[in-house]
Amino acid sequence: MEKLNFTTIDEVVYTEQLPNGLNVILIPKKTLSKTFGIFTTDFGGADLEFIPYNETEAVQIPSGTAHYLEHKLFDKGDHDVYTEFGKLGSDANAYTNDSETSYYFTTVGNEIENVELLLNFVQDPYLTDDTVNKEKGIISQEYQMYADIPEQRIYLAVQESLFAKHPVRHEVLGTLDSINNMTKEQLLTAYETFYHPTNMTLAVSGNFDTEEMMTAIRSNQELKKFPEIGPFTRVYPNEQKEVHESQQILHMNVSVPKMMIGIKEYVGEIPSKELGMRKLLTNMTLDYFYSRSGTFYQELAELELIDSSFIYTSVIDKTFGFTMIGSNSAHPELLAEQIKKQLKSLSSADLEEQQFERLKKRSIGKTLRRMNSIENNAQGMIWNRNRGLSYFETIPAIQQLTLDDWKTFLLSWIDEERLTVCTIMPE
Amino acid sequence: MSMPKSAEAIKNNLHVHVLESKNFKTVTVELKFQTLVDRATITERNLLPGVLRAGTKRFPTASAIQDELDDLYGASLQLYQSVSGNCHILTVQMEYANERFIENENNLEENIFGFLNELLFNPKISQVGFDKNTVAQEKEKLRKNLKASKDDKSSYAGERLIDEMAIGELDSIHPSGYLEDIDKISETGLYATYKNLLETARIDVFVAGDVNPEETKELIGAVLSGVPDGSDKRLSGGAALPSDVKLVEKPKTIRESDEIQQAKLHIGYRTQTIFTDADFEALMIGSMILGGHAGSLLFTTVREQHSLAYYVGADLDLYSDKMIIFCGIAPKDYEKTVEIIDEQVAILKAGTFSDEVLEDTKAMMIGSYQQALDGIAGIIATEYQKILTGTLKSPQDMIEKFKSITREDIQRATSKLERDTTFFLTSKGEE
Repeated sequence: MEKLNFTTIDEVVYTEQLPNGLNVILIPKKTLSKTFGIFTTDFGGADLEFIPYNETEAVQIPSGTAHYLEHKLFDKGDHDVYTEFGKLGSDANAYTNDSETSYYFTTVGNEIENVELLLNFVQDPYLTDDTVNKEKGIISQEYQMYADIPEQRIYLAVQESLFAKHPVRHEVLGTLDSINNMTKEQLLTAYETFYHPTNMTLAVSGNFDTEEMMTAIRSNQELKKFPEIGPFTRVYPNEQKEVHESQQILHMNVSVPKMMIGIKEYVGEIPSKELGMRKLLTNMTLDYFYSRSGTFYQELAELELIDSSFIYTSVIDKTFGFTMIGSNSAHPELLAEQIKKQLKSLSSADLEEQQFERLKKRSIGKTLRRMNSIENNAQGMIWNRNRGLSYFETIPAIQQLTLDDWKTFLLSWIDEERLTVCTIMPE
Repeated sequence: MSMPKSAEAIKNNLHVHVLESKNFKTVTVELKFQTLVDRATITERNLLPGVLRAGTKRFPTASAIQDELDDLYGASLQLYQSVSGNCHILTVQMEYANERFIENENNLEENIFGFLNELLFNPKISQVGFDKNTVAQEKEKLRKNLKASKDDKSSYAGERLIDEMAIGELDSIHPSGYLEDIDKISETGLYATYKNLLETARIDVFVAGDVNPEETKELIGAVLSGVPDGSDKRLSGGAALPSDVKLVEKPKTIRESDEIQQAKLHIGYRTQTIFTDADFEALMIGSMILGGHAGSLLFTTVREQHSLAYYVGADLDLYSDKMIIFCGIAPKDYEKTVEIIDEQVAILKAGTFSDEVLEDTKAMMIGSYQQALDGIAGIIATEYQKILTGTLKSPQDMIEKFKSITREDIQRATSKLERDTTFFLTSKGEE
């Protein structure tokens, strides 16, 4: 067990890689009453092709596989795992996004039993043709629910327009077709590679005894047999630099049109250091110009082009990155034009030291607020470690950024051929 | 965490609560202005957070405010309004870094209260009231919001249910205001509403985090100088709860249709029990057994056994006498779903649910209360709940009560449930 002491932020983290390959992260916080445990596989909606260990042929799985598996692991045939957590007085749930699937619980008491249950249910799939078929109705309802939500539809439309081939263009849930044709065999194929301990991390944060917890996790894993495998290879298609479609217009039952601009950040795999820095600078830039007090937001508000639905978001990851900025608007075309103009002006913006120092302070304040949450801390540790970054050193990383870093980033951030505009118009 | 002492009134209308805790890297301040919800002013109240956020005498623009917040080491500022039962609450919340984690900073707490005083009591005004442009912008924003909120079908169905069910009750007033009121709002009238709010609201200040209670109280007394003197109109504890509970005269069903793929079914029940009643904790557990978690009666039948819905649940309103069941289903499954819901409510009332679901639910309810007390927001919310409900019932007391709840307690509490109004929003052509 390796002990990492982050004195400036008052956190201690213990890590260990078990003989079977599983990564364990413990973040004790004895003054709280609750404990959060999360078990994450580095496998999400955008992982659709891979070459298994010791093989040469690439295997393809249908879109929606990661999410479908997430649903099925809770189902044990005669009972549902939720009820087992319920018996321990805890709450469990899961989510799947483009790059990972996570199973988690929150509890007060029975910490070790909860961690064992978390490990056991994820590592012991119960898949039969019957149980797989039964889920089709539920996931289809989930799909329909999102299909009726304009915010979801436009988000997906942007992802689809930005990427021509990279699987991040697909909906995490898959399509109604892929959901309804899902088979047990397809789920197992994905499970064998992506749920092997070498591809997974367990993080526990909160009120527990570190030694006892680590001992329990070690013995739990020693009792289980996993095939000894080496690394597998993820396959991504060669993605073009420019967007797939520069615009898309959908029609839905909305009272006000919606517009969202997408920025394709980069293509190909980027190194950790650049990933960490890009993530900070992209978010800081968006906060600076597009938060409620930002100059660009103010401009859009004064032109009456936006309302309080205005939103921006950014996903910066190993093999893909994108940013979205948009709002409900009576004049979606004018809004798109205006935001494009603003974004393009950034490469030659006149920025001063004082502005950047304020921005760094703001970012540090925000980081401290985020780190109040043991849930955020466990998730943040996993996300950052899987990408070669140090979560609890985010504040020093912000402090080290310079005005020149910001200017260099802005110089090449925006490029017309990497922008797309998606609109939802009333029917 | 050390338990808070009872609140101290610095002025007769300013109640200060310091909640010490060493668990956080930040300190949170919340000011809460509480009045009865009023149909006549609810729309104007919705404009106040945005108008106050837009500028003060010293920081006349939103970006001047943001610069100041950045200089306060990235402190966050939120203004929002909410409705709990009969009460309307304007909340101003700030969260700022504990000085331990940042460099070269020492007057942060004092500067934060100074900023709050400026923001709340020195807004940017003209000769006739609030700034004209700001008010116009906020009116436009609210107009757009209210129009767009119709696009969220689930919340639309929830609102329509309460419209039909709570006719004449304060909680039927739409918390987000009314489209038809917006045009007639003026900068002068809005300013008068704001002044009136300051003069008539009960004001509670919460400070939670690693702070020194004595110093903090002194600081508030000295720096929050803009709080006007109290008047006898101010609410005392318990104002959020209804004064009486209603019986169901005749259950009714309302159907509407829209261009949607998934239909929304919302069913409202009268509980005849409110927060201060001895049966309330048993009712809370009962409602959670019915539809509060993945092992609940509704989830395991409607979703798991019959695959009819992706989401289904039951919500008990802590501040009224209502419980709502909600789900999203295929339009053709209405009858079948209603039948299953009725069966499950009957099982709840008869007390024929399993020991397992009873024990699991109790453990979860207790766990969720304990967990809430681990977060700043939860600490403040449970403390404020005492004021809204006028009880001294602490979360710890409620946890003890949950532990002792029996099947008979739940039967007694839930036998009073009566179905009142059913609202079904289905797809066009299915009605």
